[in-house]
Amino acid sequence: MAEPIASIERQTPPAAVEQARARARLGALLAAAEPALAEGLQLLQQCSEAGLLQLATGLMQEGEGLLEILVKQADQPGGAQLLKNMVALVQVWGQLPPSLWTHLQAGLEAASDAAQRPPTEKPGLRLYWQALRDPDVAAGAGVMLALLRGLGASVRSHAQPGPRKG
Amino acid sequence: MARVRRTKTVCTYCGVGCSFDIWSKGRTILKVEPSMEAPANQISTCVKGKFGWDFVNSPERLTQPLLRRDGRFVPVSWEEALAFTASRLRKLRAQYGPDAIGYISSSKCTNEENYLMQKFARAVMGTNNIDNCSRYCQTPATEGLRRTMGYGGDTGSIHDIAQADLVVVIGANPAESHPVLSTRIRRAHKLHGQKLLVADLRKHDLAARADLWLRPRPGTDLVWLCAVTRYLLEQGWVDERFLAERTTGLAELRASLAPYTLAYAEQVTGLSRRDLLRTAEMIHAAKRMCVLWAMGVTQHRGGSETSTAICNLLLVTGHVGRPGTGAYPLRGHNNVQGAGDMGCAPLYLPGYERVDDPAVRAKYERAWGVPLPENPGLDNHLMVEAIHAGKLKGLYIMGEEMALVDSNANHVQAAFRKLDLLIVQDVFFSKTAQFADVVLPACPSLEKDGTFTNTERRIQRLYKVFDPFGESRPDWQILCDLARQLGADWRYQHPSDIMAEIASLAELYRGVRYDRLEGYRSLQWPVAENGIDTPLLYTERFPFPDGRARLCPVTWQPPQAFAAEYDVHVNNGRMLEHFHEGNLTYRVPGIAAKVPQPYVEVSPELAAERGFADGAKVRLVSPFGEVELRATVTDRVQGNQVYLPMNTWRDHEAVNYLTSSECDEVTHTPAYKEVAVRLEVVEPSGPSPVVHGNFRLGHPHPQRGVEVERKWQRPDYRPLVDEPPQV
Repeated sequence: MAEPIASIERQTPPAAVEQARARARLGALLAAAEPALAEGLQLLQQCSEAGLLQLATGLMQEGEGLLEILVKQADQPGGAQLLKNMVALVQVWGQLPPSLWTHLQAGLEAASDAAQRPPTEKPGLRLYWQALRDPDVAAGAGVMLALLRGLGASVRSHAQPGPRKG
Repeated sequence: MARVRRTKTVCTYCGVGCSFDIWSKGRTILKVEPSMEAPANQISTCVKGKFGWDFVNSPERLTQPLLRRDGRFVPVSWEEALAFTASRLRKLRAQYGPDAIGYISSSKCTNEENYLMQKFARAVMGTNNIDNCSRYCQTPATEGLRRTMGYGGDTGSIHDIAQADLVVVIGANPAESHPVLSTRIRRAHKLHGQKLLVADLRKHDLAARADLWLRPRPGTDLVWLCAVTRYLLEQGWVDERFLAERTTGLAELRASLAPYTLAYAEQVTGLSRRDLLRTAEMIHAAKRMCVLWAMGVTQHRGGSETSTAICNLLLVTGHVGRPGTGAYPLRGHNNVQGAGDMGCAPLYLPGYERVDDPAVRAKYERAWGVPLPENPGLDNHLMVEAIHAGKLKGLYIMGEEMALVDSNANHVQAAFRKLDLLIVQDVFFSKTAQFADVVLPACPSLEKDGTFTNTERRIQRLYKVFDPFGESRPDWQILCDLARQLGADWRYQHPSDIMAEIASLAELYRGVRYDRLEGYRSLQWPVAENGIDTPLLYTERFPFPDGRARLCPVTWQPPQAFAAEYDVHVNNGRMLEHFHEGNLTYRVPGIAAKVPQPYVEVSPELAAERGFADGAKVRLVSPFGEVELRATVTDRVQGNQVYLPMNTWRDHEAVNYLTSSECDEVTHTPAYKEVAVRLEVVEPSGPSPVVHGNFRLGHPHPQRGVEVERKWQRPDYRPLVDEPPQV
């Protein structure tokens, strides 16, 4: 037996209750996304082992400073060109075979080691001639020559014709 | 980060059943986009469908269950609310028996939710005291159709209405109640030569455009319908072959029509003999005729009889079972048809199978695993009387504003005060909820999956756009939780599970499956097991044992009489911008700005006679209550007839404080249209209640495109070419 009641009290739940509800909602979301989360955690683990997370953290901590540098660079005359070059570099990077990077890495490591040691002999033509007879050096020289050849061919094919000599 | 989403839904407002995409981001609705794929509406919507959704984010939404304690409503947890509700239901049933509790389902809720509500009442609580709000409007039309043709639904589609040669609209205002459907009539009338005959008290949009507008006295439609039918039979302007091959009862019908001469019809209805003859001639000339009707017919004490008279006319003239013909009672709510289909009625189980048929009951007992009550229950009208008589002690109302939309609101609210237990489940804290012992917060259509069935018998899927707001839950989920509290083993995981059960039991929905309703696909029942549906009924036979339709004699029930002091007749109905009591649409700021309040339409002659002007504040007093609101003076009404929209939730304006408890004798649909009042002037003038920009203030001049021929015929026109234009 009831008379009408024209208004209701709306309760704002205490913060603890809201947090508990938020945790419950989050728990439900996590449970629903469990397979994806498991894969995501594996990916994170691998990035961590490869040092990528540390790198990313460092970059983020540089954070504003890094972004400021990038923005200032982009703002300079030629900044747009810089960004275009960076984009082009990444595109090229993506097209090269992974094995090439392995070889480059090996070469850079060797160069790095050599840079750490003081030279044992005075450089001269005789030393270079002996080095070229080393199969490893010969192979590396061949790659360098191929690089020069490819670069030169591209330069020549895009070069504007010079003034006719008449 | 929230992404932009696009989700298909079906409109929650009227019975046209428009469908469209809701573009949303988070809980923000970016736009509503109808599509050519939409079967009922294509790219059309009305103001409510296009813009009427802000209410879903209203801060006034119910977000927590409420319990009445010490004269206040106190928010509680779902566990506590459900435990309280189950405990009180159990106690009431133990003390007074299962028939001491009634259940009101909702024509705004989905088919699945309506099915569960009647299953809850019958299988969990053991009673057939289940009803829904179609009792307030369309049950007489359903009765007329079932008596004569067999199925309680529109015989065809909106497409058939557009194809007809003649559309007859009786006691309906589609331009404001079914706007998109009315555009198809207006287009056919304007561009394709369709004839339009309107019978209505009020000069609404279609009446103003009609080729013939009949303005009979209130409550006399049956008389002119029978007189015209009699005249057509006398002239032989009937489909003799159809009558001979596809109907029974012609001799009895002829005999029953004997009193309905044209002279008698003139005398009773006030229509001229000329108009009655012209009506007969227009019907005779039409190869395809559709008759549309609504509350102006059904909400009378003789609503079932008048609906039957309409069906008789269609059968006599053979305008049934062919494209472009048929009977179209215009269902008001988005799911009036579905609520009835799902058995939310005291006499019927899903699919309109009778509860007192032992074979039907046995089928459901096997399916549900419990014994079921044998006797028909109480409808919502009888429930109110049973409360007053002390026999009904509890009521569970889902998605209905019964305190304002049932007739004789004072009488209904007095009944609510007497209940031992009132459970209200709704989206907003309604007037009805004010009387509750427990209020359960429910979700609107955008926050759930399910299906609706529109006025074309078209079943369409709606998809969830948003998660439930606050702690509200979809109605189907609340019913499942409550049923389990009461010991029922209900394990529905999704509305599709519920529809699968419906299809296994209700013959009309036999082939309905969610995969057959994907996207914008739809099915019109009856749907066979192989998924073939029935856009047009009765093409081959009628669902009676002999396959023939039944012509049924009718009896005119004069409208109720009132004392001489109540000399103003109150017509009532809808406005375009708002829906029903406005619990949703008044919470849409744009719509509320266009129509901030209802107003009573008064004729110029009545205003002059009583000495007030546009904007006056008037009080309307009936034997049952009173309301007070501002008036607008308009020629849409004439003489001592006024028009009061039902679209308000404010007590001092609500029309049902004026209506009586009189009802249709067969279906107990309230006689909302039989209202007489005394008009008192409170303030003779004031600010107009019709705000600037309201389309009703305009004076449209419809054009048939660029009428270049008229320009050519001007005397000052100088043609640019030597040859004069051919007109």
